[in-house]
Amino acid sequence: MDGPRLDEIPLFKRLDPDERAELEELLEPFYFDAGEAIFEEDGPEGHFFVLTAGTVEVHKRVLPRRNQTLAEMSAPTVVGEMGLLTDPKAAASVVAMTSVEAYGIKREDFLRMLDENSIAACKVVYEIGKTLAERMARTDDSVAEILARIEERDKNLDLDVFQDSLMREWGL
Amino acid sequence: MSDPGREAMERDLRKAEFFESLTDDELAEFAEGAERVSFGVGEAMIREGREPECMFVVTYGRMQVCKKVPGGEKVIARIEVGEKPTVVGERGMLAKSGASATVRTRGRVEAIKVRRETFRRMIHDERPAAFKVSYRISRTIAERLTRLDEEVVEMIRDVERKGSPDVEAFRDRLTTEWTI
Repeated sequence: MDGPRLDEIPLFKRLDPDERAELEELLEPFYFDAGEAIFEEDGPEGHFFVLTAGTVEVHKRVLPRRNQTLAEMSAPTVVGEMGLLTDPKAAASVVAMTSVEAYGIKREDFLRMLDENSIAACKVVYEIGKTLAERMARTDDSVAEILARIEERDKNLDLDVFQDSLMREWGL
Repeated sequence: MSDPGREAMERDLRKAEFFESLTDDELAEFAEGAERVSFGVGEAMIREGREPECMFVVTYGRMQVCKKVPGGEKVIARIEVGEKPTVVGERGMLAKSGASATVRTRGRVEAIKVRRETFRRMIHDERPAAFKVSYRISRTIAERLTRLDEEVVEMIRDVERKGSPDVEAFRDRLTTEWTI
């Protein structure tokens, strides 16, 4: 399989060729069959992956009988980047919908680069941080909506409606 | 010649979340671009909807976090600075979106102001100090997002399981995780 074009992925766009080469040295090729899990919900997140071909689905067991689809993502993209910043435990499952070609970077290798003040790793984390900060802004809006609904609870809060609104606001 | 004001600022920054892992030289770099500011009672340090301009390392005082509601503002959280400084406005260092709430003082407030422009210039110049702070802010945001996701999913499960969830406790936990 062809090597990844990191410059095509927003997360790596600000890296110069030498910095991209530094990361490329850590890449290991992976191949997933359709239906295979790249991450299992609550399972380890030991790598983050750059997907070079294929489509994945992200889903979460919100309720016992409901495996909720959160997103569908196609290459070129990355998955598992949140594990670089938090406990490496997957918050949701990521499953290949088609055959998927990917390159993985071990979390521990990446964190070591960060400890050594690698500018390449710092730039990647900065880009992840910008994305998360924008997501946090949207999340705050959702929280505000939920709080507003709770404030109206005295007007006979209908729990089914409340549950639906939580799921809708949260994109579940 | 040493500057006692600058040294005191570096000591205050050192105690604040996000700056703890910086070397002395890196702290000095931040202190050079920062300034001490103070606010009187009732002043808005950060305004909801406004494009972020700075973050504040608040060394003294009390504040409240308010959201616009029809007819005025509603207080959603109160902050009191203890022994360690409190940081507000950190999300604005990374995101362009307007502030999600207003931070208003409840008395005299003293703070160190770090301008977004200065921070962005340090990032552009590839200064390790700025990258370290951005890493700490990013980790904090990632952890908050993870906890919020868990809270909401747990609440949805609670409604399903018990039919009478503790909505008050849920609301309190959501407001604790608020970021500006």
